[in-house]
Amino acid sequence: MLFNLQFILAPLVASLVLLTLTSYFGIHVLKREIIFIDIALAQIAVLGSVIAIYLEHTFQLHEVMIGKWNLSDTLAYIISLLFCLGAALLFTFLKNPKIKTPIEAFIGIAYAFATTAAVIILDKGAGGDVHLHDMLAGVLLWTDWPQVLRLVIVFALIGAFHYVYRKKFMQLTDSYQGNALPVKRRKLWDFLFYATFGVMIIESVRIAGILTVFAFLIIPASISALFSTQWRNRIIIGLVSGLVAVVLGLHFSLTLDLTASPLIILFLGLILLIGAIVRKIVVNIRSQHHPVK
Amino acid sequence: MMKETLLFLATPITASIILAGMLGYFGTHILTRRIIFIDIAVAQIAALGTMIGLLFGFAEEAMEVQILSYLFTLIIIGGFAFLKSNALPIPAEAVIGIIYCLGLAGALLLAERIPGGSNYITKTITGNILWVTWDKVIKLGVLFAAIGLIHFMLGRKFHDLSDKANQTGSGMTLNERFLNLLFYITFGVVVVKAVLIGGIFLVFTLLIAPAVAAAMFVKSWNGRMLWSWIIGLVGTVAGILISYWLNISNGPAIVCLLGLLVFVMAFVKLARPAKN
Amino acid sequence: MNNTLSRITFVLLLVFISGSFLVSGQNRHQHKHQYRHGASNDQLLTVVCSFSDYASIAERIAGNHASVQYIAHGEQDPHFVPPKPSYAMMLREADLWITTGMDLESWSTTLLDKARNKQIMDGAIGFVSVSDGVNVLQKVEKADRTEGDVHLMGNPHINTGPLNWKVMATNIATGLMKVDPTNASDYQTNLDAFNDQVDRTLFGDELVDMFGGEMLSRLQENKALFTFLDKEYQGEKLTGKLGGWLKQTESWRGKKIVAYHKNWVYFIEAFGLEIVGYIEPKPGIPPSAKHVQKMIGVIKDQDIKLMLVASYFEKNSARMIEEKTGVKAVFLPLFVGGISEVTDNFQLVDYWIDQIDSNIQ
Repeated sequence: MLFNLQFILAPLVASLVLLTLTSYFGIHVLKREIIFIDIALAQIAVLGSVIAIYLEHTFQLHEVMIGKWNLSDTLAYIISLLFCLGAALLFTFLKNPKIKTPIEAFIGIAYAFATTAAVIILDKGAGGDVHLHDMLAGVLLWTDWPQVLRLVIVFALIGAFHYVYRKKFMQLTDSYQGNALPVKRRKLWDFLFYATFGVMIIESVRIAGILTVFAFLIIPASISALFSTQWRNRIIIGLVSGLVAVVLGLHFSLTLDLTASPLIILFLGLILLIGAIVRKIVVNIRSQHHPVK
Repeated sequence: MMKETLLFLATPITASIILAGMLGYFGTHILTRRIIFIDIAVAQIAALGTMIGLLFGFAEEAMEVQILSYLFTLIIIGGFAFLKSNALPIPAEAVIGIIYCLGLAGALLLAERIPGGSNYITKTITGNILWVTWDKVIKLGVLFAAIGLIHFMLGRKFHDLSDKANQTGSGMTLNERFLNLLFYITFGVVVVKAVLIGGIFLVFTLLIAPAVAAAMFVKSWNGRMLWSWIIGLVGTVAGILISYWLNISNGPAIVCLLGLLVFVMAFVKLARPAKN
Repeated sequence: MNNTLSRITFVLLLVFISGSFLVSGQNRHQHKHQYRHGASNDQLLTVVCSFSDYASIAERIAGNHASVQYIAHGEQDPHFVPPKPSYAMMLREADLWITTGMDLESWSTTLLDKARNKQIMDGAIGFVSVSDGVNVLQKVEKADRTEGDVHLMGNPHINTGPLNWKVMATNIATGLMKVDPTNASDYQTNLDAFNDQVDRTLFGDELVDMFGGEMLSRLQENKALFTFLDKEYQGEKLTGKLGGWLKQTESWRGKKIVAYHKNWVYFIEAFGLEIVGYIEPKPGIPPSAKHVQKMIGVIKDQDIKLMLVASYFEKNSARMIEEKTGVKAVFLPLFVGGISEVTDNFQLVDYWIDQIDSNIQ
């Protein structure tokens, strides 16, 4: 029993750390209605790291070190980030009125492209080290403490940055919905948003996989949208729902002997469903007591 | 040498041409109706249905597996239609995203229970085109011809429906509801069948990319339909040939080729001076 | 005000439902291991193997001194075994970890890390590498990963060669004796019995009685056996005295076949077949159209009649090649337990020989 606890402790802490930022960023994502952009960006970032792995194998860079840091690791990071930002820029360009096609089509195509391109490159030679399954579901259950530490540090930095400038970011997002005045130097703040968003995605996907990060971003935020409109409350609800899903998911991954992430995602979906039903019932009750005149 | 290669590739090329033709047609409708992401979600759910069939021990081509696949697809399409009518403070796109997400999560879990399952996930992504046999191609051709016939006869009506679907606030007559349902059912069947052979992303790309490329430069409905066929066909055949020369899988090669084409055309459009 | 109501209801529901989930979850019986001997006696050693073949041998050697488990299913691809929590738990309690010792079980690294069991790490007394001392084939001259030759130390599918079993069994016995010296004599007895059985099943009783298994094995490994048997003894050639598997497969010697992947090298070495090409040489990487086309050409040109396919591979690709060339694809389980009738290594090879025999025309 004790070993069980020890087993899931690192994954549990890692998930919690992930949830703190994703519950927050998720609200931005839902408000800006960039839902599929976020899975496209995550996949594109992964494509970047897959390309880095391929380059590493072709040029045999894994032994090269700069000071104490492994070159290939840094390379993978830089390429992923560049890809991510590049894609964000690309999508901004494509919102041009000259192009009548809805932007969703481009996002979908980019997502399909990134996924299949990654598979092609993996087939070409990185296949031994990285598997598609890990790309999607991640290796949450096998996280170790050094990874958790690294996650905490990066997230603390991003979190601090977003806390200090929270009003700016919230106003920026709300301005897209027409709920707030446009922000000065909009392009700069948009860029900062996507840059921090990208780093968060890259860090998270390493541990949890693309699908899990996607789920952590949109499902807790959707759950919280059912019950509140204020940022602070929404973050808390998202965090709590996420925590419940993670605990259940980890527990069952041990008892049923399955990968953790998909279970956690399914539980999140279940909680969303429960939330929707609860809300429907409460709304119905309310409209019975206060009939609309 | 070239002739031998073409002969060898004849089966996959024929299969892809059939897919491109049918999907290109539906793609123009899909783009007009602006229901883009739901296709990825539907394709994923169709794959999930197949996996559940495999979990129960049926062979891949078994009738039961296909029925399960159709069942799931229909449930999702129905569920989405239902959700659209009941307003929730969650944007529709998020709901589709969540459906896709849950579908893929379910598939990943099932993959662990089915022997050889983790391979299956890759297959749903890359598809199976190289290994398709003539008898599968013929069956596919016959089915799609039948659906094609339905759409040929009712083409005008479906066209009107799709144009109308975009305008909010317009109610539908009973006749129109029936036609709409027929449209979605035939669409569902096509997606399920196509995903089994080509994989989720190939199906999605063949639906959207040629239609988008055509829509950027052509205005008329018939023009767009024609051009999306041409682009789809050329892209597919070119993709398979490229996949042969570069030693990569067919499905992903076609996806990447068509995807690149779309982005290149988009930039060409951007670079042109705006029409007044 | 009413938002609060719905929020509270929601949270209460969550707590209630997750509580009931957790409680009911406890009642589920624990993850199934693949137990061979299930007795829960504290005196028993806990032996964990990567593959069922090693477990089968370990059972024979350890007798009733150990409870033997294995991780990869008999019908699973040995290169890619997705890590499950129960595997890490198994390893945590293991006294002995039996693995190939070449780079086949790269999936076990994550499991071993998580299990944190010092006794079974590489170099510790609980670590058994069954390939030590095996005559490894297909070693790679230069280490070039981009060529895709992932198995740098040579072909790791050593379980397909009966002669290798004797070396594997010896390594397992050594491991057992290290962690459990008190029963060393039992292990030695079982080892000798096992090796003897291998010899007799392979060469037949007569030859083993005359020359002894060790000499015959050495001849076989140096590919000198049949030259030796050509000699006359008491008026007739020694080949007449051949028995066992080698007799059964005498008509195969020199025939050419094709294999889906490099699983079968040791088997064909032992029984005289020749493999002219592979469909999917790199594990996990689907073959390119060009390569498939080339292989189809080879099969047609050399009139190959048989293709060996491990049963964990997809049937689609093999069927397509059958359709295009007329070759017969024979699907064989690679490990013990891959199909339910095969419960030990001897039955496995019996099954292979039967299947190939019926199709080698």
